Amino acid sequence: MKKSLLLTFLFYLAAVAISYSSQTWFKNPLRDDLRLEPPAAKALEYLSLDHRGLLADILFIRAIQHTGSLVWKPLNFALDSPWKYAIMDRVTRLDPRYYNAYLFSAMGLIQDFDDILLARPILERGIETFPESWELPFWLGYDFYLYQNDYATAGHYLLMAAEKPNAPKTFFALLLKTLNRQGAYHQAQILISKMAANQPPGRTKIVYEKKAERLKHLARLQDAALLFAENEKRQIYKLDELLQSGLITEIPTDPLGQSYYWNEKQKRVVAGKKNITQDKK
Amino acid sequence: MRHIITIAKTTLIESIRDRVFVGLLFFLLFLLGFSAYLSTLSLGDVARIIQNSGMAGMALICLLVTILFGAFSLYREEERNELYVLLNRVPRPAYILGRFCGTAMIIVIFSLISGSALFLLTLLFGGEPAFGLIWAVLWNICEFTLLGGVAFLFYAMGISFTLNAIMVIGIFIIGHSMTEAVESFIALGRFGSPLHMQSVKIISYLMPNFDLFDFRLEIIHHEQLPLDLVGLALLYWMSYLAALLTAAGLCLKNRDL
Amino acid sequence: MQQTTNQSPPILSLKDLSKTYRSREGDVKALADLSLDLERGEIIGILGPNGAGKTTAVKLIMGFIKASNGHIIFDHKELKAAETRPHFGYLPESFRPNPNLTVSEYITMQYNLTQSAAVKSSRRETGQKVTALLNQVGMTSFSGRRIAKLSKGMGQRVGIAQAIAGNPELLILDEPTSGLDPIGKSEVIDLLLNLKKEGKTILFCSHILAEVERLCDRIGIIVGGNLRFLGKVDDFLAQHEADNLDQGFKQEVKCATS
Repeated sequence: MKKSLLLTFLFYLAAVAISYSSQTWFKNPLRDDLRLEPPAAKALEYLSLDHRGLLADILFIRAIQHTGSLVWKPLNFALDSPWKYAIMDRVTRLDPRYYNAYLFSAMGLIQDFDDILLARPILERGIETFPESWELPFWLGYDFYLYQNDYATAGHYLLMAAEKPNAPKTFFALLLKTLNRQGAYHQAQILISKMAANQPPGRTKIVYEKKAERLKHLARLQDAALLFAENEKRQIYKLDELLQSGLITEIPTDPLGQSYYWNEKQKRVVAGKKNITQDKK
Repeated sequence: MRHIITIAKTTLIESIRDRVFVGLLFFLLFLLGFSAYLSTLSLGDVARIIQNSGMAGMALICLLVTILFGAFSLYREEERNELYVLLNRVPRPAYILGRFCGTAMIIVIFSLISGSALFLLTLLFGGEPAFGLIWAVLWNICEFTLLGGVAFLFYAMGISFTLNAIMVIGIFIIGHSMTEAVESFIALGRFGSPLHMQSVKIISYLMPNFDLFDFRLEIIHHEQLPLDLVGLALLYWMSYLAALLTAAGLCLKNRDL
Repeated sequence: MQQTTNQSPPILSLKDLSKTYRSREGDVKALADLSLDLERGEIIGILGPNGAGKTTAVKLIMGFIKASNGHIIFDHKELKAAETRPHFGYLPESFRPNPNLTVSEYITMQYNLTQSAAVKSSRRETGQKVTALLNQVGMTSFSGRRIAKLSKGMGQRVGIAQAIAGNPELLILDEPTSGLDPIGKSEVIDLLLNLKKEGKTILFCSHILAEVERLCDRIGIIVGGNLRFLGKVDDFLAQHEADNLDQGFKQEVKCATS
């Protein structure tokens, strides 16, 4: 009896030792042979036997491990963005109300410049599922701003986030900058008018109101410039051409004391110190 | 009624004293420990993972309870020839009902133990009181008593234990895939014949549909359970179970023992 | 082939009881036209080799299987299959009581099952009845012991105790001594003799001839599903010109199978 017990214990100990060693020798938490293509979401629903939440959790943990391995272990495997986003797709299809999974897709999981393009369809679904959330459109917009330099898309999502209730006002400045850079003056003007309305009377409110007026001017001038390009089949060289063609009656005065001019490189009307070389053209 | 109570009471005492009972409690402990471990791998979703894996553990334990205490004990009683002694004194439908009530009580006990342990684990590790687990326990009881009814029917039909256990597991899997099956086949129906589609739909109506008791995602997300669906699920449970037990009683009554 | 020992109405009458099983090879007759009357207070032993149809006959009487033909009349009332037999005490072959209960719990459970809903006995009354039953089978000192820990002989005593719970008019015992050692067998036979003294009617199946000879007032011999003889042991011996039951039984079986 004692011998048998001892033998059982020894065998068990050996098994544990082998298991430990295998984990020590094969540090790669996601070996290529194990990185199978995740099955279709419907097939996973079958497999889960109505424990979709648990299966979503397990898959989510796999994705976390995959990404986390990059941080604290020597990188000995290729980061597989399509794989990890396919996993996150299944996670969010198994449990469509898994908020953290959406959030993680736009935050911790982004490692490559193009990752946001893979995350976008997942986050679009998240935005649809959580219409009250400002975080999901914010991160989507932020990632497009940061990784893609796609200010138009970034602006679209950031504005969407700004319009959500409970959205913090702190990222409005970032949004404003993005909208400005893309030339979306109408949207920027709406945003800053909202910011002005939310401010208590004082110096900041006055500045916001003046900036709103400037954006209103820029929006009007930009619209006229676009119309000019459409009619004349060419871009304008300077704003005076808009006056000559009758598209505007006057060039408005900037409430913040600067001037408006046509920036050929950015192909939009901007406010700032007048660029003499451009006017000479 | 007296017969039913006596048989149910005996089933309960016999099951609690069985070694398998203690074995299953240890298994449950192991599963709960695994839940706690799994939760440490998450990104702040500790409570969620404990509940998800705990509910899966609860279901696994109750599946074993249904097969071992529900089905197997019936066959064991027959093998010991004790069934004949009992059926000399107890009408066959009352015997089925008594045995079923005993098994249901064991399922209730295991569900409550699992539910309470999960509640404590969630509170301890996740830091939140998961009152939704009361619902999880209720739906677990509904699901596995219904599955137990299926096992009793197969027994009454004279099917062997091995086949019964395989079929119960099969029904458990099929019962959880009903909605997905119908949806998939409806999609397939575009390419197949309407007859195929109708057949699948009819089978889905006839087979036990455990999808109706699946409110796990609502429980995890602390959402209000849709009352109409709750009512529908309870009504379905009652009527399907009554049908199964009546059929089991009838089969046993007409079977040569 | 019907014989009675006296003119008083029988407690149990079997009339042309038959059971045929259908199989791929064709119909198999497990029991053919069994007719017999059982008198009050007598012990009748049904003898036969393995597979002769003894257990089928018992199962038919108990209503566990449906008869293909024939009637079972108990106390002027026809019994149907799948109905309970509250007036019968039954001990099946190779019976093993629930091992997870104690002796007293098991007998209490069986006693409670014999009580009708109308008669509600108190816990104390039930306890007294159970003690009396255990006393009757000599198991009082083991009342608190788990059945799993009892010997086979003791288990059989528990089986007999449950059979006599509720004071049934008729006891049907299917091979009550099978699997027991000689001491166990002797104990069970003594127990049955005591029950006979108490006036119980017993139908007793066995293929152990010595105990049948010792116990029974009459014997019935079934071979190949047919009742070959029904009567007193002496008549059987005289019919076969045999010195003992063993010799006569062998002759009967040989004759039936040839």
